[in-house]
Amino acid sequence: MSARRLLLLLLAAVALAAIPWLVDGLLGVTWVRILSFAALYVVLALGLNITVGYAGLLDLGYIAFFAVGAYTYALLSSPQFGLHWPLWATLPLSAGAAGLFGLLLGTPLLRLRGDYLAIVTLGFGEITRIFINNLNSPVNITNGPQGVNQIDALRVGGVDFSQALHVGGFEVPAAYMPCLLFILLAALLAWACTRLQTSRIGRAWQAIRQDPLAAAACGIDLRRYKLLAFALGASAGGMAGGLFAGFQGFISPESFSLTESIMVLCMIVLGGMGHVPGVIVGALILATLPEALRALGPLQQALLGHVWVDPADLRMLVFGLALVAMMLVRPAGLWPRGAGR
Amino acid sequence: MTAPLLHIDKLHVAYGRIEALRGVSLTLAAGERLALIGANGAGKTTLLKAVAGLLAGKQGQIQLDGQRIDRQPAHTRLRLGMALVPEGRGIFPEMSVRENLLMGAHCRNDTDGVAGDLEAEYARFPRLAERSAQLAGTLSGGEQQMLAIGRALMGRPRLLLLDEPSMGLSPIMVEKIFATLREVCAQGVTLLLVEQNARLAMDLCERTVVLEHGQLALEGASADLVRDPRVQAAYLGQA
Repeated sequence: MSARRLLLLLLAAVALAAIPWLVDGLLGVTWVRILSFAALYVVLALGLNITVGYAGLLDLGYIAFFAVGAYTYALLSSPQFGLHWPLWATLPLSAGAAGLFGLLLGTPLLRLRGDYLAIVTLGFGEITRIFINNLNSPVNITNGPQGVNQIDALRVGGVDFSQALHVGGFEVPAAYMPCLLFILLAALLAWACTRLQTSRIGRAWQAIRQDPLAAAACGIDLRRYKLLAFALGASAGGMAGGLFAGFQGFISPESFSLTESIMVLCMIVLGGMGHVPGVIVGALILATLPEALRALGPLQQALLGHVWVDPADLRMLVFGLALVAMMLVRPAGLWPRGAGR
Repeated sequence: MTAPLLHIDKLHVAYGRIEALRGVSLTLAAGERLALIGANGAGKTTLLKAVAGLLAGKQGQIQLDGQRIDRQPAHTRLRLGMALVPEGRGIFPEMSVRENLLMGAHCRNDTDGVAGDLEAEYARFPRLAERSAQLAGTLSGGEQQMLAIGRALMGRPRLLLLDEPSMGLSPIMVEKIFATLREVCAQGVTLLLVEQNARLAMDLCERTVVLEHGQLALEGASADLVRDPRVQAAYLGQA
């Protein structure tokens, strides 16, 4: 690596690490927490982008992999089974378990395309949630609708990501810690996705998406590459799930509804399907917009002197309108992949 | 005597309960050019797809160099030395011309050889060299057909399966494409050509097979079949 690239990389790292301080300074510490969730959504969206954006396999049950990852982490590090495995074991297991589920889902779906694929994956997502909801009897595995409580915080070596960190005389506040971890992982995944896209595997996916028959005629093993897309996308979702469980300390089946699957899909469609920077922008906007729209209450108060419509109702309406408007104005996404390359 | 390059033995292919091929047998020697003509729905495309592995046969055998290949998936058959130019060209519209050509060599690992072959295809089709960075979807029909043929040749096939290369092209473009095919075959590539334009196909290939309702109706040297009254009436438009 040249000195120039090293310097750029270092600058990018410093810029990313400065984000929590910047957000706290400008918007307050609540927004650091919102940003942490947004970074998790970036991981989810990048994962789904592998399956949908790269390989063109429409998956409407993606949140199931997030759920599998979250429950894998939760069951291995909580009083539920009295297990308290370390993060370096549970997080890869979360990703691995979700990847395995991706393969299990992918195998019977290889022959399906388009709408049919969408319907079956939608069913898979719902089945997973209902299973988790009911796996509390006869043997209590998931604790059913009550969810899993007191999940161990994210901890690597001596660093606890729920506590403030003191490095020399410098203090990183507790609220910044998970945010920094998630930003780091999202950035690593974004880098990996960019590399993947221009690789041999990425080209094969692109071919399958554009013309499966011609791809087969070019000697591409459709089966293998489709399964790979499912498995890789699912493992990214599983990793996000594990982080989510450790971050929240509590998970329950209702976090993994169909709406969440649709939301992640919206992020990549809105941002620009198949384009990593676009997907990141889409995820950040859609994850933060509902929070930003909470300001509609105070805004009414200031402009009209009275809160006429409950902001909780209004913000989802505005959110929906914003989605419609953005798709009308920029149908290919906010930041689509440029032609030519 | 060595085994023929391609040998098809009593092949049956069905779409559900409808039999598209009913016991077709064919033999193709290395270096030969065989035209497959017939009406719409006679089973021409089905036969090509079955040979390429995109459709599974119900009964019968397909052999390449005397080895059975009918149980192998499409992607491994390519590695054995065949390439298919699909009907309707099947280029990747959102990839550049160059990327399309490189897709044809996707299963090859010899980077230097691929680079050399890319130059060879550009030399064969100068139009593609001019448009190398352009998205394939923006090419004209004839250019897309050139690209599809070039892409297939990037896999260095011994057997080229070509499905309706003249479809939707202007007569001048058809002539160009067929002149190129003649050159390709002169380099030793074996050709199995499916074509609606019977005269053109029989002109290029020394042997012709007529397919009717999923069965072989006629087979013989093109020079003889051209004079056959049945062929003239049905496929050459002569009373």
